[in-house]
Order: sequence, then C-alpha cells, then structure tokens
Amino acid sequence: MQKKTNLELVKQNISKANGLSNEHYIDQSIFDEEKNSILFNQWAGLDVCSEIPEVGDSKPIDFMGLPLFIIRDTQNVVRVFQNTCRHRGMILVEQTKNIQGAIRCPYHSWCYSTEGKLVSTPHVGGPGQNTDKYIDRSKLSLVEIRSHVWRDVIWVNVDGAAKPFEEVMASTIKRWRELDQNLYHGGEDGKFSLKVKGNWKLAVENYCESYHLPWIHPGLNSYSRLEDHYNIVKYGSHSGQGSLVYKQLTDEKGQTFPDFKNLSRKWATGAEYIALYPNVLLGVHRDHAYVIILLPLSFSETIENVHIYYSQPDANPSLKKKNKKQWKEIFEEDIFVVEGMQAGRFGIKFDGGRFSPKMDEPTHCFHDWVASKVDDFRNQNRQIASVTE
Amino acid sequence: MLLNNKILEAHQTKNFSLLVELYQEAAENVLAVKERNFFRVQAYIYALEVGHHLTPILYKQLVNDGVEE
Repeated sequence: MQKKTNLELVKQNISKANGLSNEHYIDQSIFDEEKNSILFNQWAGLDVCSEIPEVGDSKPIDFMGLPLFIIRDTQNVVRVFQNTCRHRGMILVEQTKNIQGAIRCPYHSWCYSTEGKLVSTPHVGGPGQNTDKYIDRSKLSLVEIRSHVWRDVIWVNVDGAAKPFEEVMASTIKRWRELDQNLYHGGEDGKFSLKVKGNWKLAVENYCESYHLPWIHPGLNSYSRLEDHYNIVKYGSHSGQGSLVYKQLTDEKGQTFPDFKNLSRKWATGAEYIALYPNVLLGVHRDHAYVIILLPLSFSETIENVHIYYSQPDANPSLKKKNKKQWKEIFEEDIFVVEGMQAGRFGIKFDGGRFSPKMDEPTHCFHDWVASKVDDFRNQNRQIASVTE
Repeated sequence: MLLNNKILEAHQTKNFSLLVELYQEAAENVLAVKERNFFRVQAYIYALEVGHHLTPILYKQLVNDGVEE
C-alpha cells in the first residue's frame, strides 16, 4: 500500500522546516512513488554520449527497473529506446556492442534500424514470407524515450510530458553559458564508478552543501576553506556551492590543463558544483569539468558514474591520472557519510532533521523540490481518482 | 563438410557474415520456391544485422518474389 508522508513540513521556510521523513529513504512504496514523481516525469541523467563514441555503438542500461538502451544511429544522433522487442517483449541489446547493420532481436529475429524503425519481420507470414497483412511495421517501431544532450549527458524524460529541457534547465544553462564549450572526455583516465549503500537523494544532499567540507575533506579544506565557499540556491531547479579559491592541479613540471576559452575573470579562481535535480551532479572549473550521474539501484543502493572532461582532446595523460585520483579520493571520502545517513534513517524517532538556515539552504532547496514534486504527483492522482470514481 | 554442418558450426560460433553466404548458397541449391525463400530470408536477416554488402541484393530478390516489403 502506498504510504503518505508529511510534505508540508518539508516545504516550510528553512527556519521551521524538517527534512524529508525516513520513509523517503527506506520505504519501497515511497521509492516507487518517487520513481514516477521525481525521476520518470522530469529530465533525469542516464549516461554520457562518450560511452557510445562510434556510429552503431549501443549500451543497455537498467534505469530503476526500466530496460533501456542508448545507441548512436547512422546519422550520428544519440537515441534512447526501451530495450524491448515489439514482438514478444524480448530484451534486444543484452550487452554493450557495436551494431553495424540492424538491431536483431535474439528471439525471432525481428530487425530494427538504429533509428528504431522495424525493417524486417522474418517468416512472420509463414516460412519464407516476411510480410503479413496484420503486421503494420510503421506502427511497430521501437519505443523511443524522449532525450536531450547537454554537457555530454544524455538526459531522459521517460513519461514524455515534461517541458522542453532548455526551458526546465534554463537557469543553469544561463549561469554556465560561457562554459558551454566543447568537452573532451578523459577516456579511461576520465571515468570511474562508485557503488554506495545509500539512497540516491543522500548523495545529492551531501554534494550540494559545503558545510561538511572541514570535517569530511580536511585535505581539500586546507586550500579551499569553508569561508571561501558560497551557496548556490535556485528553488524549484537546482542547488550547490561555489568556491572562490580554486587552485589548478599541476604536474612535476608545474604544467596545468589548458583553460576553456574566453572565460570571465570570475573563473580564474572560481569553481562551482551544482546538483541539477533530480540526479545529476556537475562540477565546473577553468580547466576541467565533471559530471556524476546517480543511478538508483534500490532505495538503499546507488551507482555513481563519474566522468571528467577537459578543454582539449590531448590533455596531459599523467595529469589526467592525477586528477582522476584526486577526485576519486574526494568522492570516496563522502561514501561513509551517505551510508551513515542511510543507516541513521532507520532511527524510528528521527523527524527528518533540522536545517541550519545559514549553512543548509542548498539541502533544503532540494528537499523542497522533492516534496513539491511528490505533492504535485499525489494531487494529480487524487484528481484522477475522483474523476474515475 | 556438408553445407548443413557448416551452417550449424557458423551458428555455434556466431559467425553471422559466414551465415549470410551459407544460407545464400543453400537458397541457390534448392528448386522449390518456398524452400528457397526460407533460406534467402535467413541470409537476408543476418546480412541486415551485420551490414553485409549482399543486403540490397537479397532484399531486392525477396521483394521481387513478393515476400518482403
């Protein structure tokens, strides 16, 4: 049975609000509700284009139980499809591979183009006969999932009803307009994954605030002190933190990564880290950027897929290794926090927690977004129920 | 090796390009239209999958025989 949680308490002003209640982290029915109310009906991050660099490259992805695959079609367009054959519902793409011709279902061999069109239905009208008057191929294309690419991230809107990506993400796109430049993935030294025993929202919450830096990342805090950080808060959209003292990584010869072009002075020592709701964490600097896509496996398990980008395709290899190592260490330092907060959510008398109005606004901003979206979803369902009664 | 055995072996090793050629050969070895189309469809589907150069030829043959659209 679907539980109802108190969302009004969360949406109050930060000085009075409580955080989301335990059920939002440890209850299967709330996890399922959030899948539909804050992930499938929004623009969520799925993967990055760099994972399928060549025409025909395809990769299956389980997105909260929804079987999908991404593919780069013959026109070099990245597409997302439901990974289900229109015939008997068989999984089409079982492993990452390059598809040189058609996507052939491994069951009865119905074939689809990389654009999703059903191009052949072998023996469907009997042996040696590929046509049947009741099989209209034009109505049996693969189910394409609405997608959009920005900053190499493949964003998907599963229910197909969200407002256009550029509209929903307008404030972040505008904020980082000057950083909207070619991004070159760091390759094998530009990616890693972390598996965390915690609800995906806890990773968002931990990411978007700087309050924890002196305690969890003391090394980082030595050159990026708490007082050198500012909050980024846009209710209804995103939140995060900025640093005023970003220091470029150098190799043994004192060399740095090349900068992105024509940046304003702010970025000489500035860096920003934004959680773009629901599940994408972004970081930008003068010389590199990264994205973390959170893929929830269950209410208590999350995969964090991290990708690092540079301004040039031939960035210094040893420096890339060093940069990956540095970020990996920082993100690993956060794991025990996320897992600790997950364990703490089983404290039956925990009330969602009290926010610091000074330090926790980015977190409250996220909780407010979650509560508002879930509330909207419940109200819509209530209206539908009242009409159908 | 018999053609039948070659086909089975190519299936086992998932050598789809070879299957295109073997099924094409099988199609050419039979006289009955229905049987020929069966093998030609097999060849065509594997050709489609791997982007084989015979794909347009096989397609045209199947369309001409009224078994593909």
